[in-house]
Amino acid sequence: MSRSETIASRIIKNLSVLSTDRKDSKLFGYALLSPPILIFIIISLFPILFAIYLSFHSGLGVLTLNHVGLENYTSLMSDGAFWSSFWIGIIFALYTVTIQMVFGVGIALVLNENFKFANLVRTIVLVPYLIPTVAVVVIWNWILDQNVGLMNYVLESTVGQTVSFFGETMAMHSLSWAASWKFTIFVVLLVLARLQSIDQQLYEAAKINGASPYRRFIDVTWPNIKSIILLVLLLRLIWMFNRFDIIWLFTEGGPFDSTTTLAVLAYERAFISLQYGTGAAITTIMFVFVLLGSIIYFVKFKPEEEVMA
Amino acid sequence: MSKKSKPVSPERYSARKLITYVLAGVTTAVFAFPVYWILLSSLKPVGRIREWPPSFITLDLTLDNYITLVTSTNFPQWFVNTTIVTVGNIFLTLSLAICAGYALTRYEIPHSKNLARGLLLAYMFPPVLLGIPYFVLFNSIGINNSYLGIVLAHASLSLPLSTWIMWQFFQTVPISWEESAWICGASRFRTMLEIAVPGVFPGIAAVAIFTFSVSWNDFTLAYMVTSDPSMTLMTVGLRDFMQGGRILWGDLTAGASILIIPPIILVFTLNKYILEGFSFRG
Repeated sequence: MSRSETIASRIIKNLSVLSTDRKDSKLFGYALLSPPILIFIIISLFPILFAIYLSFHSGLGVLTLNHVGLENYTSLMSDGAFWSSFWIGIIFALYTVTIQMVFGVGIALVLNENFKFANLVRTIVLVPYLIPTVAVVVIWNWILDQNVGLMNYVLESTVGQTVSFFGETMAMHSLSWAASWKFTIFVVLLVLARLQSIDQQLYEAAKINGASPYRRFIDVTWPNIKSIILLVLLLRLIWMFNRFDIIWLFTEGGPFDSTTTLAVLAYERAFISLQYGTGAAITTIMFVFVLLGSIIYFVKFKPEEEVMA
Repeated sequence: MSKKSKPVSPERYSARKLITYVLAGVTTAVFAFPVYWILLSSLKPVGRIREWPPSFITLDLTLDNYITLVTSTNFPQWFVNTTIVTVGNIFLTLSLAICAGYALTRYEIPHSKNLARGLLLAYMFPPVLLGIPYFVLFNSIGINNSYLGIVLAHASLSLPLSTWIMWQFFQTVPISWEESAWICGASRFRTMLEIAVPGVFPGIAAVAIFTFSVSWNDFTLAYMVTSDPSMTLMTVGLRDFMQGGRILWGDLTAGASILIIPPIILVFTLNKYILEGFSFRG
Protein backbone atom coordinates (compact mmCIF):
# COMPACT_ATOMS: atom_id res chain seq x y z
CA MET A 1 0.00 0.00 0.00
CA SER A 2 1.46 3.31 -1.00
CA ARG A 3 1.64 6.22 1.37
CA SER A 4 -0.74 8.38 -0.67
CA GLU A 5 -3.28 5.59 -0.63
CA THR A 6 -3.22 5.34 3.15
CA ILE A 7 -3.74 9.07 3.50
CA ALA A 8 -6.57 9.03 0.99
CA SER A 9 -8.27 6.08 2.63
CA ARG A 10 -7.86 7.66 6.03
CA ILE A 11 -9.49 10.85 4.82
CA ILE A 12 -12.35 8.87 3.28
CA LYS A 13 -12.74 6.92 6.47
CA ASN A 14 -12.77 10.09 8.52
CA LEU A 15 -15.18 11.76 6.15
CA SER A 16 -17.59 8.91 6.66
CA VAL A 17 -17.06 9.27 10.41
CA LEU A 18 -17.82 12.92 9.94
CA SER A 19 -21.03 12.28 8.09
CA THR A 20 -22.30 9.76 10.62
CA ASP A 21 -21.16 12.15 13.35
CA ARG A 22 -23.24 14.82 11.63
CA LYS A 23 -26.31 12.58 11.80
CA ASP A 24 -25.72 11.80 15.46
CA SER A 25 -24.94 15.40 16.08
CA LYS A 26 -28.40 16.50 15.02
CA LEU A 27 -29.35 14.76 18.24
CA PHE A 28 -26.49 16.52 20.02
CA GLY A 29 -27.93 19.84 18.86
CA TYR A 30 -31.31 19.09 20.34
CA ALA A 31 -29.72 17.76 23.51
CA LEU A 32 -27.83 21.05 23.90
CA LEU A 33 -30.85 23.17 23.15
CA SER A 34 -33.49 21.47 25.27
CA PRO A 35 -32.32 22.47 28.78
CA PRO A 36 -32.14 26.19 27.95
CA ILE A 37 -35.45 26.11 26.09
CA LEU A 38 -37.13 24.22 28.91
CA ILE A 39 -35.86 26.66 31.53
CA PHE A 40 -36.76 29.60 29.31
CA ILE A 41 -40.33 28.34 29.01
CA ILE A 42 -40.58 27.68 32.75
CA ILE A 43 -39.17 31.01 33.94
CA SER A 44 -40.29 33.41 31.21
CA LEU A 45 -43.30 32.27 29.23
CA PHE A 46 -45.15 30.20 31.82
CA PRO A 47 -45.24 32.93 34.51
CA ILE A 48 -46.70 35.42 32.04
CA LEU A 49 -49.37 32.93 30.98
CA PHE A 50 -49.99 32.09 34.62
CA ALA A 51 -50.43 35.80 35.42
CA ILE A 52 -53.08 36.00 32.70
CA TYR A 53 -54.78 32.91 34.18
CA LEU A 54 -54.53 34.45 37.65
CA SER A 55 -56.19 37.64 36.42
CA PHE A 56 -59.45 35.70 35.88
CA HIS A 57 -59.46 34.55 39.49
CA SER A 58 -59.98 36.13 42.85
CA GLY A 59 -56.65 35.36 44.42
CA LEU A 60 -57.38 36.20 48.00
CA GLY A 61 -54.85 34.03 49.71
CA VAL A 62 -52.49 32.16 47.47
CA LEU A 63 -53.77 28.62 47.24
CA THR A 64 -57.47 29.31 46.94
CA LEU A 65 -58.21 30.56 43.45
CA ASN A 66 -61.84 31.12 42.53
CA HIS A 67 -62.74 31.70 38.93
CA VAL A 68 -64.39 35.09 38.62
CA GLY A 69 -64.33 35.58 34.86
CA LEU A 70 -63.78 39.17 33.81
CA GLU A 71 -64.75 40.61 37.17
CA ASN A 72 -61.23 41.85 38.02
CA TYR A 73 -61.12 43.71 34.72
CA THR A 74 -64.60 45.20 34.92
CA SER A 75 -64.03 46.43 38.45
CA LEU A 76 -60.71 47.98 37.37
CA MET A 77 -62.41 49.81 34.51
CA SER A 78 -64.72 51.55 36.97
CA ASP A 79 -61.96 52.10 39.52
CA GLY A 80 -60.76 55.72 39.68
CA ALA A 81 -57.43 54.61 41.18
CA PHE A 82 -56.76 52.46 38.11
CA TRP A 83 -57.31 55.31 35.65
CA SER A 84 -55.34 57.86 37.64
CA SER A 85 -52.44 55.38 37.90
CA PHE A 86 -52.70 54.73 34.19
CA TRP A 87 -52.35 58.43 33.38
CA ILE A 88 -49.64 58.99 35.97
CA GLY A 89 -47.77 56.09 34.36
CA ILE A 90 -48.13 57.70 30.94
CA ILE A 91 -46.92 61.06 32.29
CA PHE A 92 -43.99 59.42 34.08
CA ALA A 93 -43.03 57.51 30.91
CA LEU A 94 -43.30 60.53 28.60
CA TYR A 95 -41.54 62.86 31.04
CA THR A 96 -38.61 60.58 31.82
CA VAL A 97 -38.17 59.36 28.25
CA THR A 98 -38.16 62.94 26.93
CA ILE A 99 -35.39 63.83 29.37
CA GLN A 100 -33.47 60.68 28.49
CA MET A 101 -33.76 61.14 24.74
CA VAL A 102 -32.85 64.85 24.69
CA PHE A 103 -29.86 64.49 26.99
CA GLY A 104 -28.93 61.02 25.74
CA VAL A 105 -28.65 62.07 22.10
CA GLY A 106 -26.98 65.34 23.08
CA ILE A 107 -24.37 63.64 25.24
CA ALA A 108 -23.75 61.02 22.55
CA LEU A 109 -23.06 63.79 20.02
CA VAL A 110 -20.61 65.48 22.42
CA LEU A 111 -18.84 62.21 23.27
CA ASN A 112 -18.55 61.40 19.57
CA GLU A 113 -16.19 64.35 19.14
CA ASN A 114 -12.47 63.73 19.29
CA PHE A 115 -10.99 65.27 22.38
CA LYS A 116 -8.45 64.46 25.02
CA PHE A 117 -9.84 62.15 27.72
CA ALA A 118 -12.75 61.19 25.42
CA ASN A 119 -12.35 57.55 26.41
CA LEU A 120 -12.18 58.41 30.09
CA VAL A 121 -15.40 60.45 29.89
CA ARG A 122 -17.12 57.68 27.90
CA THR A 123 -16.18 55.29 30.70
CA ILE A 124 -17.21 57.54 33.59
CA VAL A 125 -20.71 58.13 32.23
CA LEU A 126 -21.30 54.35 32.25
CA VAL A 127 -21.15 54.21 36.04
CA PRO A 128 -24.69 55.41 36.86
CA TYR A 129 -26.23 52.84 34.52
CA LEU A 130 -24.52 49.94 36.27
CA ILE A 131 -25.00 50.92 39.89
CA PRO A 132 -28.11 49.40 41.49
CA THR A 133 -31.34 51.39 41.58
CA VAL A 134 -31.31 51.22 45.37
CA ALA A 135 -27.94 52.97 45.41
CA VAL A 136 -29.26 55.61 42.99
CA VAL A 137 -32.14 56.22 45.39
CA VAL A 138 -29.77 56.53 48.36
CA ILE A 139 -27.55 58.96 46.42
CA TRP A 140 -30.42 61.27 45.45
CA ASN A 141 -32.19 61.02 48.80
CA TRP A 142 -28.92 62.07 50.36
CA ILE A 143 -28.44 65.00 48.00
CA LEU A 144 -32.08 66.13 48.00
CA ASP A 145 -32.86 65.54 51.68
CA GLN A 146 -35.00 68.27 53.21
CA ASN A 147 -32.78 68.79 56.26
CA VAL A 148 -29.25 67.61 55.52
CA GLY A 149 -29.19 67.49 51.71
CA LEU A 150 -26.50 69.20 49.70
CA MET A 151 -29.00 70.71 47.26
CA ASN A 152 -30.92 72.47 49.98
CA TYR A 153 -27.66 73.70 51.46
CA VAL A 154 -26.83 75.29 48.12
CA LEU A 155 -30.33 76.72 47.73
CA GLU A 156 -30.36 78.12 51.23
CA SER A 157 -27.04 79.85 50.83
CA THR A 158 -27.90 81.28 47.40
CA VAL A 159 -31.63 82.06 47.40
CA GLY A 160 -32.22 81.68 51.12
CA GLN A 161 -34.94 79.06 50.77
CA THR A 162 -35.15 75.29 50.94
CA VAL A 163 -37.30 73.04 48.78
CA SER A 164 -39.16 69.91 49.83
CA PHE A 165 -38.03 67.77 46.90
CA PHE A 166 -40.30 64.86 47.76
CA GLY A 167 -43.29 66.94 48.76
CA GLU A 168 -46.48 66.75 46.73
CA THR A 169 -45.57 69.39 44.15
CA MET A 170 -41.99 68.30 43.54
CA ALA A 171 -42.07 64.50 43.97
CA MET A 172 -42.81 63.64 40.33
CA HIS A 173 -40.06 66.00 39.12
CA SER A 174 -37.41 64.80 41.56
CA LEU A 175 -38.29 61.18 40.83
CA SER A 176 -38.20 61.67 37.07
CA TRP A 177 -34.88 63.51 36.98
CA ALA A 178 -33.21 61.07 39.38
CA ALA A 179 -34.50 58.11 37.32
CA SER A 180 -33.25 59.76 34.14
CA TRP A 181 -29.83 60.29 35.71
CA LYS A 182 -29.51 56.51 35.73
CA PHE A 183 -31.22 55.55 32.46
CA THR A 184 -30.00 58.27 30.08
CA ILE A 185 -26.79 56.31 29.63
CA PHE A 186 -28.66 53.53 27.84
CA VAL A 187 -29.56 56.07 25.13
CA VAL A 188 -26.02 57.46 25.06
CA LEU A 189 -24.47 54.00 24.60
CA LEU A 190 -26.63 52.87 21.71
CA VAL A 191 -26.62 56.22 19.88
CA LEU A 192 -22.86 56.67 20.38
CA ALA A 193 -22.18 53.17 19.02
CA ARG A 194 -24.14 54.05 15.88
CA LEU A 195 -22.46 57.45 15.53
CA GLN A 196 -19.05 55.84 15.65
CA SER A 197 -19.96 53.45 12.88
CA ILE A 198 -20.69 56.32 10.44
CA ASP A 199 -18.11 56.47 7.67
CA GLN A 200 -15.95 59.57 8.24
CA GLN A 201 -15.56 60.00 4.50
CA LEU A 202 -19.20 61.06 4.30
CA TYR A 203 -18.39 64.03 6.52
CA GLU A 204 -15.29 64.84 4.50
CA ALA A 205 -17.28 64.76 1.28
CA ALA A 206 -19.97 67.00 2.76
CA LYS A 207 -17.32 69.43 3.96
CA ILE A 208 -15.67 69.59 0.56
CA ASN A 209 -19.06 70.40 -0.93
CA GLY A 210 -19.38 73.27 1.49
CA ALA A 211 -22.05 71.83 3.77
CA SER A 212 -22.45 73.74 7.02
CA PRO A 213 -22.26 71.83 10.32
CA TYR A 214 -26.06 72.04 10.45
CA ARG A 215 -26.44 70.55 6.95
CA ARG A 216 -23.87 67.90 7.75
CA PHE A 217 -25.99 66.90 10.74
CA ILE A 218 -29.21 66.82 8.70
CA ASP A 219 -27.74 65.06 5.66
CA VAL A 220 -25.22 62.69 7.20
CA THR A 221 -25.72 62.22 10.93
CA TRP A 222 -29.50 62.18 11.20
CA PRO A 223 -30.26 59.56 8.49
CA ASN A 224 -27.72 57.27 10.15
CA ILE A 225 -29.03 57.55 13.70
CA LYS A 226 -32.76 57.84 12.94
CA SER A 227 -33.56 54.16 13.24
CA ILE A 228 -31.55 53.58 16.43
CA ILE A 229 -33.27 56.60 17.99
CA LEU A 230 -36.68 55.13 17.18
CA LEU A 231 -35.64 51.79 18.65
CA VAL A 232 -34.27 53.33 21.84
CA LEU A 233 -37.39 55.49 22.16
CA LEU A 234 -39.61 52.42 21.89
CA LEU A 235 -37.63 50.38 24.43
CA ARG A 236 -37.35 53.22 26.91
CA LEU A 237 -41.09 53.98 26.71
CA ILE A 238 -41.94 50.33 27.42
CA TRP A 239 -39.49 50.13 30.32
CA MET A 240 -40.29 53.46 31.94
CA PHE A 241 -44.05 52.88 31.71
CA ASN A 242 -43.61 49.58 33.56
CA ARG A 243 -40.95 50.71 36.03
CA PHE A 244 -41.51 49.70 39.63
CA ASP A 245 -38.33 49.73 41.73
CA ILE A 246 -37.19 53.34 41.51
CA ILE A 247 -40.69 54.72 42.17
CA TRP A 248 -41.39 52.40 45.08
CA LEU A 249 -38.01 53.11 46.66
CA PHE A 250 -38.25 56.89 46.32
CA THR A 251 -41.89 57.63 47.11
CA GLU A 252 -43.92 54.40 47.49
CA GLY A 253 -46.28 56.06 45.03
CA GLY A 254 -46.84 59.05 47.29
CA PRO A 255 -47.33 61.65 48.46
CA PHE A 256 -51.12 61.23 48.10
CA ASP A 257 -50.71 58.77 45.22
CA SER A 258 -49.15 61.51 43.06
CA THR A 259 -46.52 59.04 41.79
CA THR A 260 -48.60 55.85 41.81
CA THR A 261 -48.16 54.32 38.36
CA LEU A 262 -49.77 51.06 37.22
CA ALA A 263 -46.71 49.10 38.37
CA VAL A 264 -47.02 50.55 41.86
CA LEU A 265 -50.78 49.97 41.93
CA ALA A 266 -50.30 46.35 40.83
CA TYR A 267 -47.84 45.82 43.66
CA GLU A 268 -50.14 47.44 46.23
CA ARG A 269 -53.16 45.42 45.15
CA ALA A 270 -51.27 42.13 45.12
CA PHE A 271 -48.95 42.42 48.09
CA ILE A 272 -50.63 44.91 50.40
CA SER A 273 -54.36 44.33 49.78
CA LEU A 274 -53.50 40.67 48.97
CA GLN A 275 -55.72 40.75 45.88
CA TYR A 276 -53.41 38.74 43.64
CA GLY A 277 -56.08 38.44 40.95
CA THR A 278 -56.49 42.20 40.65
CA GLY A 279 -52.72 42.68 40.71
CA ALA A 280 -52.36 40.13 37.93
CA ALA A 281 -55.12 41.83 35.92
CA ILE A 282 -53.20 45.12 36.11
CA THR A 283 -49.94 43.50 35.01
CA THR A 284 -51.79 41.71 32.20
CA ILE A 285 -52.99 45.09 30.93
CA MET A 286 -49.39 46.31 31.18
CA PHE A 287 -48.30 43.21 29.28
CA VAL A 288 -50.59 44.16 26.39
CA PHE A 289 -48.56 47.36 26.04
CA VAL A 290 -45.31 45.40 26.06
CA LEU A 291 -46.74 43.14 23.38
CA LEU A 292 -47.82 46.09 21.22
CA GLY A 293 -44.35 47.62 21.58
CA SER A 294 -42.70 44.36 20.62
CA ILE A 295 -44.90 43.99 17.54
CA ILE A 296 -43.78 47.45 16.35
CA TYR A 297 -40.22 46.36 17.12
CA PHE A 298 -40.47 43.10 15.14
CA VAL A 299 -42.27 44.59 12.15
CA LYS A 300 -40.19 47.75 11.86
CA PHE A 301 -36.74 46.56 12.86
CA LYS A 302 -36.74 42.85 12.00
CA PRO A 303 -34.20 42.18 14.78
CA GLU A 304 -34.35 38.42 14.28
CA GLU A 305 -32.38 38.80 11.06
CA GLU A 306 -29.31 39.63 13.12
CA VAL A 307 -28.98 36.05 14.32
CA MET A 308 -30.14 34.34 11.14
CA ALA A 309 -26.88 33.52 9.41
CA MET B 1 -23.57 75.52 -8.35
CA SER B 2 -21.84 77.75 -5.91
CA LYS B 3 -18.28 76.98 -4.97
CA LYS B 4 -17.95 78.07 -1.40
CA SER B 5 -15.87 75.29 0.00
CA LYS B 6 -14.12 77.57 2.42
CA PRO B 7 -11.75 75.92 4.86
CA VAL B 8 -12.89 75.88 8.46
CA SER B 9 -11.38 78.91 10.14
CA PRO B 10 -9.07 78.25 13.07
CA GLU B 11 -11.32 80.26 15.42
CA ARG B 12 -14.36 78.24 14.52
CA TYR B 13 -12.37 75.07 14.93
CA SER B 14 -11.18 76.02 18.37
CA ALA B 15 -14.63 77.32 19.34
CA ARG B 16 -16.00 73.87 18.59
CA LYS B 17 -13.21 72.33 20.67
CA LEU B 18 -13.92 74.67 23.53
CA ILE B 19 -17.65 73.94 23.52
CA THR B 20 -16.90 70.21 23.38
CA TYR B 21 -14.63 70.46 26.42
CA VAL B 22 -17.16 72.51 28.38
CA LEU B 23 -20.05 70.15 27.61
CA ALA B 24 -17.95 67.06 28.25
CA GLY B 25 -16.83 68.59 31.54
CA VAL B 26 -20.40 69.34 32.61
CA THR B 27 -21.50 65.82 31.61
CA THR B 28 -18.71 64.25 33.62
CA ALA B 29 -19.53 66.39 36.65
CA VAL B 30 -23.24 65.56 36.50
CA PHE B 31 -22.63 61.82 36.36
CA ALA B 32 -19.54 61.53 38.52
CA PHE B 33 -20.16 64.03 41.30
CA PRO B 34 -23.17 62.31 42.97
CA VAL B 35 -21.21 59.05 43.05
CA TYR B 36 -18.15 60.80 44.48
CA TRP B 37 -20.35 62.53 47.03
CA ILE B 38 -21.88 59.32 48.39
CA LEU B 39 -18.47 57.61 48.54
CA LEU B 40 -16.93 60.61 50.30
CA SER B 41 -19.84 60.90 52.73
CA SER B 42 -19.56 57.22 53.64
CA LEU B 43 -15.96 57.82 54.67
CA LYS B 44 -16.62 60.86 56.83
CA PRO B 45 -16.65 60.46 60.61
CA VAL B 46 -20.21 60.06 61.96
CA GLY B 47 -20.15 63.52 63.50
CA ARG B 48 -19.17 65.19 60.22
CA ILE B 49 -21.39 63.36 57.77
CA ARG B 50 -24.18 65.92 58.23
CA GLU B 51 -21.88 68.89 58.76
CA TRP B 52 -23.02 72.30 57.63
CA PRO B 53 -21.44 73.66 55.46
CA PRO B 54 -20.39 70.40 53.77
CA SER B 55 -16.76 69.85 52.85
CA PHE B 56 -16.11 68.46 49.38
CA ILE B 57 -12.46 67.66 49.82
CA THR B 58 -11.24 66.35 53.11
CA LEU B 59 -8.61 64.00 54.43
CA ASP B 60 -10.45 63.48 57.69
CA LEU B 61 -11.64 60.03 56.55
CA THR B 62 -12.49 56.91 58.50
CA LEU B 63 -13.99 53.46 58.02
CA ASP B 64 -16.23 53.90 61.09
CA ASN B 65 -19.47 53.80 59.08
CA TYR B 66 -18.42 50.54 57.44
CA ILE B 67 -17.40 49.03 60.77
CA THR B 68 -20.78 49.94 62.28
CA LEU B 69 -22.54 48.54 59.23
CA VAL B 70 -20.73 45.22 59.44
CA THR B 71 -20.84 44.79 63.21
CA SER B 72 -24.26 46.09 64.21
CA THR B 73 -26.59 45.38 61.27
CA ASN B 74 -27.51 42.30 59.23
CA PHE B 75 -25.61 43.67 56.25
CA PRO B 76 -23.00 40.85 56.23
CA GLN B 77 -25.80 38.30 55.82
CA TRP B 78 -27.33 40.34 52.99
CA PHE B 79 -23.93 40.59 51.33
CA VAL B 80 -23.48 36.81 51.47
CA ASN B 81 -27.01 36.29 50.06
CA THR B 82 -26.45 38.69 47.16
CA THR B 83 -23.09 37.08 46.41
CA ILE B 84 -24.53 33.54 46.38
CA VAL B 85 -27.44 34.58 44.16
CA THR B 86 -25.19 36.54 41.79
CA VAL B 87 -22.66 33.73 41.38
CA GLY B 88 -25.47 31.18 41.01
CA ASN B 89 -27.18 33.23 38.33
CA ILE B 90 -23.94 33.81 36.41
CA PHE B 91 -23.26 30.07 36.44
CA LEU B 92 -26.82 29.13 35.41
CA THR B 93 -27.28 31.81 32.74
CA LEU B 94 -23.84 31.34 31.23
CA SER B 95 -24.07 27.57 30.88
CA LEU B 96 -27.58 27.69 29.42
CA ALA B 97 -26.76 30.57 27.07
CA ILE B 98 -23.60 28.85 25.79
CA CYS B 99 -25.48 25.61 25.03
CA ALA B 100 -28.35 27.44 23.36
CA GLY B 101 -26.11 29.81 21.42
CA TYR B 102 -23.98 26.98 20.07
CA ALA B 103 -26.93 24.77 19.11
CA LEU B 104 -28.81 27.61 17.44
CA THR B 105 -25.77 28.63 15.38
CA ARG B 106 -24.56 25.18 14.33
CA TYR B 107 -27.84 23.34 13.69
CA GLU B 108 -30.88 23.90 11.58
CA ILE B 109 -33.43 24.36 14.33
CA PRO B 110 -37.03 24.66 13.17
CA HIS B 111 -38.82 27.85 14.25
CA SER B 112 -35.55 29.49 15.25
CA LYS B 113 -36.90 32.78 13.91
CA ASN B 114 -39.82 32.64 16.33
CA LEU B 115 -37.45 31.65 19.08
CA ALA B 116 -35.36 34.74 18.33
CA ARG B 117 -38.46 36.89 18.63
CA GLY B 118 -39.47 35.10 21.83
CA LEU B 119 -36.08 35.86 23.36
CA LEU B 120 -36.35 39.55 22.52
CA LEU B 121 -39.92 39.72 23.79
CA ALA B 122 -38.85 38.10 27.06
CA TYR B 123 -35.95 40.56 27.26
CA MET B 124 -38.52 43.37 27.30
CA PHE B 125 -40.55 41.86 30.18
CA PRO B 126 -40.45 44.29 33.08
CA PRO B 127 -39.66 42.54 36.40
CA VAL B 128 -42.95 43.69 37.94
CA LEU B 129 -44.85 41.56 35.41
CA LEU B 130 -43.10 38.43 36.64
CA GLY B 131 -43.14 39.19 40.36
CA ILE B 132 -46.79 38.40 41.07
CA PRO B 133 -46.95 35.04 39.23
CA TYR B 134 -43.58 34.06 40.72
CA PHE B 135 -44.81 34.82 44.20
CA VAL B 136 -47.90 32.65 43.79
CA LEU B 137 -46.07 29.84 41.95
CA PHE B 138 -43.06 29.78 44.27
CA ASN B 139 -45.32 29.67 47.30
CA SER B 140 -47.24 26.71 45.96
CA ILE B 141 -44.11 24.68 45.19
CA GLY B 142 -42.26 25.91 48.26
CA ILE B 143 -39.25 27.64 46.72
CA ASN B 144 -40.10 31.15 47.89
CA ASN B 145 -37.44 32.24 50.39
CA SER B 146 -34.81 30.07 48.75
CA TYR B 147 -31.69 30.83 46.75
CA LEU B 148 -33.07 28.64 43.97
CA GLY B 149 -36.20 30.80 43.71
CA ILE B 150 -34.28 34.07 43.55
CA VAL B 151 -31.78 32.68 41.04
CA LEU B 152 -34.55 31.40 38.75
CA ALA B 153 -36.34 34.75 39.00
CA HIS B 154 -33.12 36.60 38.14
CA ALA B 155 -32.36 34.21 35.29
CA SER B 156 -35.65 35.25 33.69
CA LEU B 157 -34.14 38.72 33.35
CA SER B 158 -30.67 37.65 32.22
CA LEU B 159 -31.20 34.51 30.12
CA PRO B 160 -33.04 35.97 27.09
CA LEU B 161 -30.48 38.65 26.22
CA SER B 162 -27.57 36.37 27.18
CA THR B 163 -28.77 33.66 24.79
CA TRP B 164 -29.11 36.33 22.12
CA ILE B 165 -25.55 37.56 22.73
CA MET B 166 -24.09 34.04 22.60
CA TRP B 167 -26.09 33.27 19.46
CA GLN B 168 -24.50 36.26 17.77
CA PHE B 169 -21.01 35.51 19.04
CA PHE B 170 -20.93 31.86 17.93
CA GLN B 171 -21.58 33.06 14.39
CA THR B 172 -18.19 34.78 14.46
CA VAL B 173 -16.38 31.45 14.99
CA PRO B 174 -15.84 29.80 11.59
CA ILE B 175 -17.14 26.25 11.48
CA SER B 176 -14.01 25.28 9.51
CA TRP B 177 -11.99 25.45 12.75
CA GLU B 178 -14.16 22.75 14.20
CA GLU B 179 -14.33 20.74 10.96
CA SER B 180 -10.60 20.30 10.86
CA ALA B 181 -10.73 18.93 14.40
CA TRP B 182 -13.56 16.54 13.52
CA ILE B 183 -11.41 15.14 10.70
CA CYS B 184 -8.78 14.38 13.31
CA GLY B 185 -11.41 12.44 15.18
CA ALA B 186 -12.47 14.92 17.85
CA SER B 187 -16.04 14.61 19.04
CA ARG B 188 -18.60 17.32 18.54
CA PHE B 189 -18.76 17.96 22.26
CA ARG B 190 -15.00 18.29 22.49
CA THR B 191 -14.70 20.74 19.61
CA MET B 192 -17.49 22.81 21.11
CA LEU B 193 -15.74 23.05 24.46
CA GLU B 194 -12.18 23.35 23.19
CA ILE B 195 -12.56 25.33 19.96
CA ALA B 196 -15.87 27.15 19.72
CA VAL B 197 -16.26 28.22 23.37
CA PRO B 198 -12.77 29.78 23.67
CA GLY B 199 -13.48 31.54 20.38
CA VAL B 200 -16.41 33.40 21.92
CA PHE B 201 -14.58 34.57 25.03
CA PRO B 202 -15.60 38.24 24.59
CA GLY B 203 -19.22 37.11 24.42
CA ILE B 204 -18.83 35.06 27.57
CA ALA B 205 -17.32 38.05 29.35
CA ALA B 206 -20.16 40.28 28.12
CA VAL B 207 -22.78 37.79 29.32
CA ALA B 208 -21.07 37.36 32.69
CA ILE B 209 -20.99 41.13 33.27
CA PHE B 210 -24.57 41.58 32.13
CA THR B 211 -25.78 38.74 34.36
CA PHE B 212 -23.77 40.10 37.28
CA SER B 213 -25.43 43.47 36.89
CA VAL B 214 -28.91 41.90 36.71
CA SER B 215 -28.50 40.06 40.02
CA TRP B 216 -26.52 42.82 41.70
CA ASN B 217 -29.17 45.40 40.67
CA ASP B 218 -32.40 43.56 41.19
CA PHE B 219 -34.71 44.87 43.84
CA THR B 220 -38.19 44.13 42.46
CA LEU B 221 -38.11 40.35 42.14
CA ALA B 222 -36.17 39.65 45.34
CA TYR B 223 -38.53 42.01 47.19
CA MET B 224 -41.56 40.13 45.88
CA VAL B 225 -40.45 36.49 46.18
CA THR B 226 -38.75 36.63 49.58
CA SER B 227 -40.12 37.51 52.99
CA ASP B 228 -37.75 35.65 55.30
CA PRO B 229 -35.17 38.11 56.76
CA SER B 230 -32.43 35.49 56.39
CA MET B 231 -32.92 35.58 52.59
CA THR B 232 -32.74 39.37 52.25
CA LEU B 233 -30.49 40.73 49.51
CA MET B 234 -28.45 43.91 49.96
CA THR B 235 -30.76 45.90 47.71
CA VAL B 236 -33.85 44.91 49.70
CA GLY B 237 -32.12 45.33 53.06
CA LEU B 238 -30.88 48.84 52.31
CA ARG B 239 -34.49 49.94 51.90
CA ASP B 240 -35.04 49.17 55.59
CA PHE B 241 -32.45 51.81 56.49
CA MET B 242 -34.57 54.43 54.71
CA GLN B 243 -37.78 53.47 56.50
CA GLY B 244 -38.95 55.02 59.70
CA GLY B 245 -38.43 58.47 61.11
CA ARG B 246 -34.70 58.61 61.67
CA ILE B 247 -32.59 57.81 58.62
CA LEU B 248 -29.26 56.22 59.47
CA TRP B 249 -27.10 58.11 56.96
CA GLY B 250 -23.88 56.44 58.13
CA ASP B 251 -25.18 52.91 57.48
CA LEU B 252 -26.97 54.01 54.37
CA THR B 253 -24.05 55.75 52.65
CA ALA B 254 -21.68 52.90 53.55
CA GLY B 255 -24.13 50.23 52.34
CA ALA B 256 -24.82 52.08 49.08
CA SER B 257 -21.06 52.47 48.54
CA ILE B 258 -20.57 48.72 48.86
CA LEU B 259 -23.20 48.27 46.13
CA ILE B 260 -21.52 50.93 43.98
CA ILE B 261 -17.86 49.92 44.18
CA PRO B 262 -17.94 46.59 42.24
CA PRO B 263 -19.71 48.14 39.20
CA ILE B 264 -17.17 50.99 39.21
CA ILE B 265 -14.32 48.48 39.20
CA LEU B 266 -16.01 46.59 36.35
CA VAL B 267 -16.52 49.75 34.31
CA PHE B 268 -12.87 50.75 34.58
CA THR B 269 -11.36 47.31 33.99
CA LEU B 270 -13.72 45.51 31.59
CA ASN B 271 -15.24 48.44 29.74
CA LYS B 272 -14.78 46.89 26.30
CA TYR B 273 -16.75 43.76 27.22
CA ILE B 274 -19.58 45.86 28.63
CA LEU B 275 -19.73 47.65 25.31
CA GLU B 276 -19.64 44.30 23.46
CA GLY B 277 -22.78 43.36 25.31
CA PHE B 278 -24.38 46.60 24.27
CA SER B 279 -23.37 46.43 20.65
CA PHE B 280 -25.76 43.52 20.17
CA ARG B 281 -27.97 45.77 18.12
CA GLY B 282 -25.06 47.26 16.22
